[in-house]
This record gives sequence, C-alpha cells and structure tokens, in this order.
Amino acid sequence: MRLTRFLIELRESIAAAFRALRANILRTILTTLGIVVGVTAVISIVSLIQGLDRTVKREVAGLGTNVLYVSKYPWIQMDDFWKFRNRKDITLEQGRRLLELVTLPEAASMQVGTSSTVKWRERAARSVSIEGHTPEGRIVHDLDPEIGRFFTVAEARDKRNVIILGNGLWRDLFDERDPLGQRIRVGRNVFTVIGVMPEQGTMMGMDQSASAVIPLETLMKLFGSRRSIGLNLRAYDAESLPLVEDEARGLMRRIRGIPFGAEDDFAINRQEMLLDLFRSLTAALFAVMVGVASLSLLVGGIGIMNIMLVSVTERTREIGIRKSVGAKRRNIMWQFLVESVVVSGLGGAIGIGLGIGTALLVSAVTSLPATAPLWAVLLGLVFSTSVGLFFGIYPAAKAAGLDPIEALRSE
Amino acid sequence: MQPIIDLKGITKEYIMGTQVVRALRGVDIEIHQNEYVAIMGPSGSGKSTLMNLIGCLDTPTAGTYLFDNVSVENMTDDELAEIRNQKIGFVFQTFNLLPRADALHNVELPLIYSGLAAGERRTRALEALDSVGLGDRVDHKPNELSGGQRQRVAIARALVNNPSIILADEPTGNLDTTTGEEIMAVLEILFQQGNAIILVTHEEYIAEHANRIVRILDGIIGSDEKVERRRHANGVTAAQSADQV
Ligand SMILES: Nc1ncnc2c1ncn2[C@@H]1O[C@H](COP(=O)(O)OP(=O)(O)O)[C@@H](O)[C@H]1O
Ligand SMILES: [Mg+2]
Repeated sequence: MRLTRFLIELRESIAAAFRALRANILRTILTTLGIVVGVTAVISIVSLIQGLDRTVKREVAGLGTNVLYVSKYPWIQMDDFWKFRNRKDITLEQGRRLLELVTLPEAASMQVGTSSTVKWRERAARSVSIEGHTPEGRIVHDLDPEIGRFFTVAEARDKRNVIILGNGLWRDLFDERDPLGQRIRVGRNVFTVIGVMPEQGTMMGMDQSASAVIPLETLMKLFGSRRSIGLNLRAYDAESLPLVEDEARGLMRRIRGIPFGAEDDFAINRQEMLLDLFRSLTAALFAVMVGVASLSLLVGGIGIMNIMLVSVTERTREIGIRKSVGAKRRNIMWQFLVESVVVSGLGGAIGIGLGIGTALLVSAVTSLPATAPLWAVLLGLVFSTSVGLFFGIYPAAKAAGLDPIEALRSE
Repeated sequence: MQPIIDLKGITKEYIMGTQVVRALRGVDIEIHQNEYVAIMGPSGSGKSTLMNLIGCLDTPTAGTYLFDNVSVENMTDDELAEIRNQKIGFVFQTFNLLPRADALHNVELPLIYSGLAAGERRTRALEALDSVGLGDRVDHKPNELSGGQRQRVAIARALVNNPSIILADEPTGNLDTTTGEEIMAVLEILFQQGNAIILVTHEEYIAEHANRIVRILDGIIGSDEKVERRRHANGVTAAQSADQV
C-alpha cells in the first residue's frame, strides 16, 4: 500500500522532471557537460585499458611463465640507449656453448627473427614475422603444430627450407585449405609447408596472423648470419627460475669474458617484467582517469546544483500549486531529486556513448583493441546519477521547504 | 450541527522590516456544510489572508481554528498538506494551473498526491472535467484554453477529490462578465450537489449568489448576514452541465 503510493508519486516526479527537461533541452545538455566529460574519460580509458590488458595478457602468455630470454638488449630499457648500443652481438658460437653448459633448465633453445613477405600463388602477406628456432624450441615454447609437424633435428641440421605457419597466416594464404606440402615463397626463397600452429598464442607473443617458424640455421643462411641470437631457457617451475637465471648469468659472463665486477653486457628477460611494466603503465593511466573523472564530476555536480537552484526559482509557482493541492514535502523533494538524477544520468548516458565511441575510434586508428566492460558502463551510470543525487539534495530540500503561500505569490 | 469551519479570535500579522502589518485582527466565524458564503470587502482588507488560513495554506498568528472539529494550529506542514488534499478545493483568481500539463493532468494532480492509481485517477478526472463542461478539452494545455475554460479546469481540480469545502478567491476577478456568469453557474451546481462554498468577491451581484454575506473591513468582520433572495446563476453552461451531471 505504501509502496504503491510511493510508486504513483514517483511516477509523477519522473513525468514532471521530463516535462521540465523537455522545455529546456539545450540548457539541460549544457548543464551535463561536466558529467559527460567525466564519464567519457572513464569509459574510454577503461575500455582501452581493458582491451590492452586482454591483448597483453594473451600475448605475454605466449612467452611462457617459466621461460628466460637471454638477449643482447633488455626488453625494457629504462637507462639510456647509448649504454646498450655498443654491446656485441650474441653469436651462434656463444649460444651453442651456453646451451652445452647449462644444467638446470628443462630445455633450452636459440632463436632469431626477421620479417619478410610470404606468397602462395597469387596470395601475399606482407611483413610476416619469421622466427628461426632450434629444434628444442618446440619444447621451450610449446610449439606443437595443430596440423602437420614441427621440423626435425635432421631438417634443422641440414638447413632445410621447411616452414610452420601461424594460424592466421595459414588462413590468410590458404583459406583453411590443406597447406601441407605446398610450396610458398618467403622473400625470394621457396619453402615447403610442414605444419600450422594452433589458434592461440604460442608464437612468441607476435601477431599470429603474420608469423611463421623455420629452422634457425636456415634463417641465418638465407637471411643473413650477422644477427644477435636469443637464448631461451625453460625452467621446470617457478621456484627454479632464479637458479636457472643465476646459472645462465654466470655462464654467459664467462663465455663473453666479462671481468669480475664489470656489468653484464647482455640481458635476461622474463614475461613478468613486461607484465610489471604494463601494470605500472595502467596504474598511471588509471590515476589520470580518476583525476580527470573526479574533477569533471565535481564540476558537473556543481553545475547541476546551480541549474537545479535556477529550476527551483523558476518553478516556485509550480511548487506552490502542487503544495496547494496537497503535495507533501517528500513529493516536492523527490520531484527535484529525480529531475537532478535524470539530468545527470542523461549526461552519464551521453558520456558512455561518447566514451565507447572514443575507444572505438582510437582502436580503429591505432589498431589497439578496445572493449567497454559492462561494469564500466554501470559504473559510469552509477557515478553520474549519484552526482545528481548528491548535488540535487540541497536544491530539492530548498524547494520542499518553500512556504506554499509565498510560493504561490511568486511570479 | 457542527460547523465544518470554526474560527475564534484569529489574528494574522506580517512583519515587514520594522513594521507590523495586522492583516486580520480577531476574526470569529463558523461555517456549516450547507452554506454558500460570500466574503466581501475592499482591497487589502484581509479577505485573501482569511481564505488562505481557512484553506490551511497558511497558519494564524493567534486564535483557534477547528476544521471538522479538529484543531489545525499545531499541525505539521505535511498534515496540513493532507487536509488541503482531502478536504479542501481551492480556486484562485489567477487559476494557478501547471502551464506545461494538459487539463486532464492538472485535474489529476490532487489525486496523484492522494496516491490513487492511474486508471481510477483518469476516470475521476474525466468525470470532473465533464461536470464543468470541458469533456472535449481534456488534452488542451492551459495556454490553449480561454480564461473561462482555465477557471473551469481549476474548478474541476478543486472538486475532483470530493472536498468538504470549496474555497474560491475572486474566481471571476480575471474574467469578463459573461464568462464570470458561467463560472458562477458551475459553482451553483456544486452548491446544489451539497458542497459548502466560500467565495471572495468585491462585486455585489456576484456575492448575491451566496446565501450568506460576510463583510470584512481592516481585518475585522463588519457584518455577517443571510441573503434574503439569493440570485441563481443559470448560464448556458450551467444548463448543459446540469444535463451531464
Ligand atoms: N505576505 C505578506 N506580507 C506582508 N503583508 C501582507 C502579506 N500578505 C498580505 N499582506 C497584507 O495584509 C493585508 C491584507 O491582504 P489580503 O488578505 O491580500 O487582502 P485582500 O485579499 O482583501 O485584498 C494587506 O495590507 C496586505 O498588504
Ligand atoms: Mg485578495
């Protein structure tokens, strides 16, 4: 009974709010500007972070949790570039020695990379990332083809032109037809397709639609041998990872003849480092977003309070009329609260639309992925309406407290 | 019979800066359910102030006010709102309709604050509009209606919740003579149906529609007498409305 009465009154409040808003559409929209900006910022940034997060996690997952990457340069260069510039390449010879000497890893492999155009008949894929691995790479990186097979030790030793296609590359070139035994061109060289990788990310974190695996020494022979080798060590588990790292560091220093006390002239990278970097980047982005959002929501809230005070003044007579026919304090209170919440919610809705639009635009232009998560959309709505509720209280209370006679007398 | 309205020693003072305006200076009046009272007096004599007090829109500075035998002085704002909603129908000189709402919605307004469901609200509002001869104007906004029609919407709003008493403060003051006569005819029907009516006017011939005339001067009742031969309003609209009732 009380509830139905409340709902009946609430419905009138909502209807009155919309009648009032319709009468001042432009003003209403301008009022919500602060809230629009705030919510747009939240939604677009959250969407981008979410999109990035998913890709980064997926890509980084391909690197493997328990794999160490010994290479000439660190993945993340906080110091200046000049420090690394004069480092000497890690040669095939040094790589072979390290792999002979290590005892702790489950498996160890070498890797180099280049990029090239890949063609099959009239189809072509540009800038395909070509990875050269040693046979052990299959174990280190879980490179198990979905179709066909990995290359053999013999094929690697004989530097054969065999290639395993990334799943996306296969679909681009072959439309999912059987590629096994087909001859394709990588640059000017002819390769035989022996396998296709599965859909999800075991391709060293590279874009799958444009990657392929060939034997390391084939790559060195055909595309040049003056390149620094990456050495990849897979630990049995997370606990032994530091031990593997210590052993590899000691051996590398010896192999590269680094005097005692001098700095390493190579880097040992881990998946975790990328995640850490990404985490600190997103944290910074989040902080910026929270700053922008709270500032503009505050500005928006004050704007709404201001316009609601104007609205109360303009409609003093209406308030008097409603009171004269029996509206109670709470009726008037609700009416103006609803109006303020509707205005701010409207701003929130516009902001959500613009935010998703911005995220989509950015992702279209930069090819960064963007997904607007439902929680962010709800958060945007909840935030904007709470701002309306909070900043609407004072004007609504003012309206509710008006004296009916005074209100009726006003022009 | 108990009077529906019973004022004793009512005063009302307004403080204007350092000056005290004594709008009512001790008013005693009883009004019964079957009465049609006209309140007359020169401008500024306190008529509207008295009406607003009777209508529970305002509270007196001193004195006692029993509405339907219940003391009103110590009621809260919301309790007064409840009385205005349930027991009193107010008709103002300036109509006081919501400008953006159509006639139907304006008439529904008191029912909304009574918590009536939409369906029944609509039925009763339509009935009320019919009874003032506006059954065909329900979706018009106030600015799409003539002055007389607006006042009839206001009357429909005043009577829609079956009040004990209808208060009309110069309801014809903003209307020409013919239109004013139409409004008086509508009030006549309401009176015939058993509603108590209090009407403020400063026109003698309008006051003669009532069966009792109270004259007020400088915030004090000067005279209070029965009308020997009251004038019966019977405009065209009245006849039409009478058919519809
Ligand atoms: N809100 C108010 N503040 C100050 N004085 C008022 C107020 N309302 C009415 N008055 C004064 O009280 C007196 C009676 O006013 P009112 O009841 O409106 O007279 P009437 O309706 O008979 O013309 C007048 O002198 C008027 O100026
Ligand atoms: Mg007056």
